[in-house]
Amino acid sequence: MKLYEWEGKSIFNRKGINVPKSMIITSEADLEKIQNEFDFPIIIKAQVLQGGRGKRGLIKEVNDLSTAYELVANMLHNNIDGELVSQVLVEEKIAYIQEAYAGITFDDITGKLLLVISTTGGIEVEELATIDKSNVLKTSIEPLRGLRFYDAISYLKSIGFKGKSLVEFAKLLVAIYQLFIELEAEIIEVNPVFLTQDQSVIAGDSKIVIDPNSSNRNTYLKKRSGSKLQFVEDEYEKRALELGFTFVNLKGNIAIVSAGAGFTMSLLDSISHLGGKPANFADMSGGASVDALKNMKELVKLVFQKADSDEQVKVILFAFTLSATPIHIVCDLFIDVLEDSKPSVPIIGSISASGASTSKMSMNEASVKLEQVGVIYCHSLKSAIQKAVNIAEGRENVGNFNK
Amino acid sequence: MLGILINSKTNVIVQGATGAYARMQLPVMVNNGTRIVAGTSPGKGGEFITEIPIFDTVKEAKHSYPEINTSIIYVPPFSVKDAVLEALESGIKLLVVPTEGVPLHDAIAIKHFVNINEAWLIGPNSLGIITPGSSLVGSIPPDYTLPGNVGLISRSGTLSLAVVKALTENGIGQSTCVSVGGDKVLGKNPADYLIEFENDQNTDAVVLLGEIGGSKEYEAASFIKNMKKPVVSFLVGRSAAPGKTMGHIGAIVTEARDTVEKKIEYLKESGSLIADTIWDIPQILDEVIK
Repeated sequence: MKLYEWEGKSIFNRKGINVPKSMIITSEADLEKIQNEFDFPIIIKAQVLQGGRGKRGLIKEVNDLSTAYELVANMLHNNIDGELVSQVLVEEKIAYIQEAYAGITFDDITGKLLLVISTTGGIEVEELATIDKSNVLKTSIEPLRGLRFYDAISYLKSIGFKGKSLVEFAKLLVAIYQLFIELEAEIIEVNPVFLTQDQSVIAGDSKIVIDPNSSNRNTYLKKRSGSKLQFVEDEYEKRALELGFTFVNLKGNIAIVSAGAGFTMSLLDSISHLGGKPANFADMSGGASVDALKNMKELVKLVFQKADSDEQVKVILFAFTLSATPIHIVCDLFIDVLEDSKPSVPIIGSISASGASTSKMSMNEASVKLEQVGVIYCHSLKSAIQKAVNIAEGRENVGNFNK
Repeated sequence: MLGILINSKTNVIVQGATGAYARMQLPVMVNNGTRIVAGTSPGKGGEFITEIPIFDTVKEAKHSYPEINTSIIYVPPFSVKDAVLEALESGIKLLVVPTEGVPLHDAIAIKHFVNINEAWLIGPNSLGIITPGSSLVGSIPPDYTLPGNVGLISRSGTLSLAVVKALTENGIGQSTCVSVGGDKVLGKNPADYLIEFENDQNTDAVVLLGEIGGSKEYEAASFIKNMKKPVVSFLVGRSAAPGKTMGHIGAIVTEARDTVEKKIEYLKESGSLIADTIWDIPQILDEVIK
């Protein structure tokens, strides 16, 4: 869950981190205020959640009001790769003498926090790896102990900072560390950190990503409820997300519905390996509560809709490996949806179940019931995938369908 | 002793034993011969589930049953951290956490406490661990498995089921199968389990199931370089779109090195065998074991 730059900067500001003087603009009329508040040149930055704004012309320096009008008119309410720009940030231009970098994230191997600082900023994070090692410092932060002010001082000193800017930068590091904890963040990045002639340290940008698993207890997220936190351009993906599931729309000829991220990914890979093309990723795992069940049905419908409306899709494949979710729940769910409406393409199904999941219905019973509603049932996963690929690639015909 | 981490001396407490999901899993474990000694559920101390006594706290259960050495934790995401601390402070050294959706910052704290207590935590977001014919802690169906000499490590629970089933169908038995967890920060990483399997005299080869996202396969590969036993790796997520999470919170391609292709390249260089599909895994194993 990524925050907008302006939100990050207002959080920084409240935490005592210096940020450029700024104004958020939601209409061209707002530009009138600029003249009284700012001296030109100013920086105009489109507020989108996508990265790489600089390269895409979404951050521009402007020298006069008429150019500002033109630019803001071009940015506002415009669709940038599916994302609507509804806010533009106007900022004073900072006269800096150096751009640095500061970021905190976590190490997925050690489970510790990771602090990264560099004397070079304003570049892509990936490029950090390519610059001179003596200018970059990566160090882990022990959980519980945290980042102390004197740690920050010695880390920054080791890559060449000194004097007042050393102290100011160290304060910034401690502040973003504290925010990282308070916000339950995954990433907080300040890139660039501006260092000025008078040795001030100013956050030139903000990137804050909050852990989505914290959302139900995250006081910051609760305060801003209702506003969009994730940029999703695709209509299907958006609807699946509202239902609490992951759907990724792809270009292919086999629509898929399954459960479990790893297993579903392996289905997609197997299809590709056999020469077919997956049309989507849809993972309906997420428990067996009443509400979850209703939502699972909606997800299955969504996949069927995608199959119906996408010319390329020739077949639907559903496959499950169950150990905890009862098989009758999955089986009845498909039967319910299929009794309501049949998709215009054949449906291949395969369920493997054992343990607690077969306490109320056996795999054989499930297969018979599914065949009764028109599912082409395969007892082995491999043959189900092969059959789906054969149909999709026109190597096998299983009867007349609308498509 | 068969396999790693669990055995016939594994005595389990079920934390959060009275929830619907836990109740569903309990009979499968008991029927498989797992010794479920006690359960906890605050406020329900004194009750029984089937024949398993329920206590209000782990400490009380441990007092009555000092043989408890393993806990499986069926509590909601925000309660996992407390449950883990409760188990650790009662001296339990092996913990299994099936719960999905544990906050990252809790996982970081959990890993820290597990480490300082010299304990071993499987998960979060794990289907558990099974040593076929001996013990099951979690939800890996025993009839998918077969006693044998192949160790299995998987980041994904559902994928581990499909693969273990394919092994069993091809007559390849397993020493221990473990679903290590699908989250970004885990109690123990795949590399930690590789070390256990390398040192286990009942394991002759290891299957490593990985996926896109994160660095855990790189850590595993570094260990594989020095392993004597053969490792067959199978990684999923080739079809993933960059920047989009495919379900697992850990499975997202944000950097070039997160992709399946890069990881496979590195695993190969480190001496791991690579399977392209689930069904290649038993074939490759057949060649290396015989």
